[in-house]
Amino acid sequence: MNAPLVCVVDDDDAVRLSIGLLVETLGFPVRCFAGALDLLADGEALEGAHCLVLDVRMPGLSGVGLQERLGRLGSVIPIIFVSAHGDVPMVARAMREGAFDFLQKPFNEQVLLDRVHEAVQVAGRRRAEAAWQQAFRGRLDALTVREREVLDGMTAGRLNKQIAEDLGISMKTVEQHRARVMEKLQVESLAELVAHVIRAARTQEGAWGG
Amino acid sequence: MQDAGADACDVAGADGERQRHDCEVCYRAVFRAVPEPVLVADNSGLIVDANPAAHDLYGFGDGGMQGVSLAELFAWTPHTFGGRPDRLAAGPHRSRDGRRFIGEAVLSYIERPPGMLVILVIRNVTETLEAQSRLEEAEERWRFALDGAGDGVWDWSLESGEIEVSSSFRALIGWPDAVRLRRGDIWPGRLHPDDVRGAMAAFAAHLAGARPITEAEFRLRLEDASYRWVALRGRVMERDAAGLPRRMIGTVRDVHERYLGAEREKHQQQELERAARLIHVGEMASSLAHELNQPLTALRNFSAVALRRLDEVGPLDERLREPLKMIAEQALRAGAIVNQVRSFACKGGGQAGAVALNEVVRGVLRFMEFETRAHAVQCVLELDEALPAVQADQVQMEQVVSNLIKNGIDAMRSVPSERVLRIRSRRLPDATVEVAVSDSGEGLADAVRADPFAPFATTKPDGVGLGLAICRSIVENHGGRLWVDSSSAAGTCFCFSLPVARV
Repeated sequence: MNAPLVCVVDDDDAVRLSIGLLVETLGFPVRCFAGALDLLADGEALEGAHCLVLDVRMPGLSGVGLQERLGRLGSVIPIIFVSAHGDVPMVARAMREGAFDFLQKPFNEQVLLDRVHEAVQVAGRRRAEAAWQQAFRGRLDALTVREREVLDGMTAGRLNKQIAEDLGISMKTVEQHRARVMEKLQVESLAELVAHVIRAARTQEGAWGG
Repeated sequence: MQDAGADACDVAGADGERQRHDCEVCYRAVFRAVPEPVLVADNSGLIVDANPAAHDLYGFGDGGMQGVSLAELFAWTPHTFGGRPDRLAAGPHRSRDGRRFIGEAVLSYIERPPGMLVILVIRNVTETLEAQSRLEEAEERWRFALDGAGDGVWDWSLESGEIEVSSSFRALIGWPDAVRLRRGDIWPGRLHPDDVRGAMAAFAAHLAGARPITEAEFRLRLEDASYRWVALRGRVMERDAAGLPRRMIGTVRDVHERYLGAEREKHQQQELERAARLIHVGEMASSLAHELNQPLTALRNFSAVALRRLDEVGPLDERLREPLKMIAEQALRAGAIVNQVRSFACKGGGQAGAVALNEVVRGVLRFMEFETRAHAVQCVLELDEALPAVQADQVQMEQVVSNLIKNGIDAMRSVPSERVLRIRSRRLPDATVEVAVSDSGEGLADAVRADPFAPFATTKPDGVGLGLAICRSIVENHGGRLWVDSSSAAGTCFCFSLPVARV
C-alpha cells in the first residue's frame, strides 16, 4: 500500500499552504488544491487520498458540494471541514452527510493534526477492509456450486454426516469438498471460516466507523 | 340766564349784588370759553341758553338756539328727564343743516320752581365709536379667521383672570358654551402633569418680556378625561401705564394627530434604523470575520510548522520557542475575538443553553398577567410536562413567546365573546419541540395574511411590524421554524419548533 495521501482544498493560498506544511509534519504526503473541481478531476489523488481537509465556502463547488459528489461516487474518504464561518446549519449539514469533523478557523493545529491522523488510520482500516472484502469475495466466487452448498452447511453448524444426507452425497465426498473450501478460502479452521463469512456479510455496515 | 348761576352766587345785600355780578361775568366767560357744547333747557325741553360750541355743533352759527326744542336735536321726549338721569346714552343727533352725528350727554339739574333747569354737556362721540366699532369688527374678523382655520382663540384678561375662549376651543375641550372660565381652569388646570412646567415657563418668559411670544406644546385634558396634544401661541396685546400686561390673546391648535404621527414615525424610523444597523453590522462582522480568520489560520499554522521544524533540527533554544508559541497563541486569541464580535452582532449576544420552553411560557404569562386580566383573556395551557429542553438563548425565547402571546391578546381585542388564548407544547417525532399559541380572535387581516412575517407588515395602529419578523429570525437562528397553522376554523395559531437540546 502507498503512503497515505492527505488532500487539502482551500481557495486561500496562505491557508492552503500552511495546512499543507502542517500536515506534512505528520509525515504524510500532501496534495493541495485551490478548488474542489481540481481535486475531482484528479483521479490519482482521489485514489490515494486517506483524508480530505476541505474549506466549506469556496468559489465554484463548495466543500459541502464536493462531499455530496464524493458520496454519490461511493467514496469513503474521511473529510475534515475547516471554515471561517461557523454557521450552525452548515455544520449540521456537513456532519449529517458524514463529515469526519468540522473545525472553525483559526483552529489549534494540534487538534487538526490529531484528527487528520485518526482520519488516515480510519481510512487505512476502511481501505484494508474493502481490499479484504474484495479478495474474499473473489475467493468465494472461485467455489463450485457443490462447494458453496457444503460451505452453507458448515456455516449453518451442521455435521458432515448431516450435510451428506442433505445433499445426497457420501461423507467422504463432503470431506473432500470441505478441504477444498478451506483451501480456496485460505482458512485454517472452521472457526476462522465462520468469522470470515460473518465479516463478509457486513460489507456495507460500519463503513463510516471511526 | 342769570338764574342759571344763581345757586353758585347766592349772596345777600349790596356787596352781595356786586359779587353776584362778578359771579355772573365769570360764569358767562367760562360758559362761552369751554370747548364742550353746553345746552341749558327747561323741563319742557326748550333751550334757554347755549354756548358757542353748542351753536357750532348743531349748526346755528352765532345764535338762535334759544327757544329751540331739544326734540329737534335728538330723541327727546317729555319723559327724558324723568328720574333725572345723569347721562344720556350715545344716540343719533342732528344739526340744523341736516348733518347727523352720534352724541352723548352729561346732565345736571338746577331747581327753579315750579320747574327746573337742565344743563346738558354734549359730546360728539361719532369718531370714538367708529374707531371702536372698527376695532371690534377687526377683532371679530381675525377671531373668525382663526376659528375657521381650526384654531381655538383665547382672550385672557390678566386683571380679572377671566378668559374668553372661542367656540372651537370650547368644542375641542368639550365645555358647554355657558360656562364662564378663568385662566386657572385651563392652565395649569387642564395641562398634563408632565407638561405643566414647560408650558408655565413659556408663559412666564413672555409675560416677563424675555420672549416676544408665548409658544408651547402640551397635552390638554378634555372633558372625557382623555388628553390631546395642542400647540398654544399667544402674546400680550395690552399693557397698563406701568407696562404690566393686562390682556393676552392667542390661539390653541389641535396637533394631536400630527404629534402622534410624528412620534410614530420617529419610533418606526428608530426601529428601522436599528434593524438596518443590526443587519448591516451582522453582515459586516460576518464577512470581516471570514476575511480575518483566513490569515489568522495561516499565521497560526505557519508558526506551528516553524516550531515543529525547529524541533526536528535539534533541541530548540527557548529564546526562539517562546516567541513562536506566543505568535501561535495570539493568532488563536485574535480568532476568538473576531468570532465573539460576529456572534454578538449576528445574534445580539445571545447565550445558548438548555431552555425549558414550558417554563418560558409560564414565566411570560406570569409577567403578562396584568394584560391578560385587563383584556379578560382566559389562558388555557396544554403543556407536555415531559417536554425535553431546547438549545437556545433564554431571553430570546422569552421574547418570541411574549411576542406571540401579545399578538394573540391584541387579535382578540375586538372580540366581544369568549377570549381564549391556548398555548400548547409537545414533542414531535423528528426530535423537535413545538409550541403553538392560538387565539379566538378574528384571524389574520387580509393585509398581512399573505406573509405575516414580512418586516413592516402590520395592522396595529401603533405597530411597527417587526415583531413577527424578529421572532422568525430568532427561531431560525436557533435552527428552528416559525409558521402559521391555518387548519383551525377560528382565530390564528402561530407555531414554532426548535431542535431538542443534545444531552
